[in-house]
Amino acid sequence: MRNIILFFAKHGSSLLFLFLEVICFYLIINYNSNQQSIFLHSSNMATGKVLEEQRKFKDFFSLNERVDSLQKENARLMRRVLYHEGYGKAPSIDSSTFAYNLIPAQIINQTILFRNNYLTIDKGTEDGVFPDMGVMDQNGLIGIIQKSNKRHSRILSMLNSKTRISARVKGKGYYGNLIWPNIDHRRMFLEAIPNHATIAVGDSIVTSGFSTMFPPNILIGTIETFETRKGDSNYDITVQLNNNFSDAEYVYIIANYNQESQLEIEAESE
Amino acid sequence: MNSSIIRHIIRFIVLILVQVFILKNISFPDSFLRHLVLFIYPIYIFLLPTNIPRPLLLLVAFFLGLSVDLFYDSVGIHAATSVFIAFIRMYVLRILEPIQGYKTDGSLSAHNYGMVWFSSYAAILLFVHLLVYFSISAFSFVFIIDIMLKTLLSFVFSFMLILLHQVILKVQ
Repeated sequence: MRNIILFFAKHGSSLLFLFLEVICFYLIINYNSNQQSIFLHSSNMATGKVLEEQRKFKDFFSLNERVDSLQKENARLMRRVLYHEGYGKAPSIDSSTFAYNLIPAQIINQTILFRNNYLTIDKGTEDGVFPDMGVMDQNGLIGIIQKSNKRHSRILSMLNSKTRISARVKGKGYYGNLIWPNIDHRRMFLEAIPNHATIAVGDSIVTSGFSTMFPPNILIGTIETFETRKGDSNYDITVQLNNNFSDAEYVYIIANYNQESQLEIEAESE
Repeated sequence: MNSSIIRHIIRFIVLILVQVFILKNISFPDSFLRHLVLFIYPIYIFLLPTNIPRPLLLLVAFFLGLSVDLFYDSVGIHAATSVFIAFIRMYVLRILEPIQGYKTDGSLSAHNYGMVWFSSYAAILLFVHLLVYFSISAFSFVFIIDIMLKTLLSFVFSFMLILLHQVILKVQ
């Protein structure tokens, strides 16, 4: 008690000063429209700033969840685009009419510099990813699932000597195989296009849709150069890939519901 | 003692009347002097004797400012400013303390302490008063250049007014 009295004796006038100033500012803000509007405006600015920073902070921690949900959304939309581009029909679909489904995944390991390159993704059989499914990203093809365990899958990259992907020149009827002769990670080779076909530099190369792995008309790349070798009836076509393997990060696995039955009937007839 | 209290009360009323009925109406809206404000009432706080209890000094300043505010339609601005200079008055007095010290009673006037001492004392407090006043009026330091110009302009004329007051009236 004595301390309290001493405290007031010592600091009483300072406290009174603060008290009076608080009253004054209360009056100023409540009875002067100019000061009131400035006060409200700057306090709104201050709280707005705080809220914005708080949101950024929260965003940072929920980033992975958000990427996941966006990727799912993307897969859904991309499926519609594939259906539309592949068959030229209106993009209103359900799984019964379009045999392909897209499963989003993230690349966790990849090589591009070797003769035979592979990628690893974070989805496996638990997520419905099985061997021989095609893999693409938003700009083009990535490869084919080679092995899957419960949680992870290994992809045979397009940049691999074993790659053979059925492709065609968009808008033309010519089909060929896309191979990787180890030029660099932006270029592939299209073989078996006959040299009577009329093609031009810049023509789009798309998937043919004949394999069970990729639906038709996914953009792979564009023709960079083509030439005819003497005594050969086919063009040598260099294709510039549309996607860039060095910055690929998110991919979509293409699950084909009809794959088994197609392979079955193809095996029977052989 | 009684007569000095009455003198202070009369001075309180007269200064407010002069402030709100004469000085408030002096304005030059069409020249560069349009931002000029003339303040005489802060001299009341300057003159209060050293032996006044500090809480009383603050309360007197508060009511002085509030009275002026009522006529200026600026509720709280003069009050806040007056309370502020009443609060810092003690520190200014400590800095300017004459060699022989302060008398325990009697006004802190030019008559009692000399014109030179009073000028520096009044100049500091008046300048702070105007600076705080214009800052609170603008309510934002965005207008700092504006505030400084208004303060300097008003300071020159208000200071002359206050010195004039001290020359004419021999405040005991």
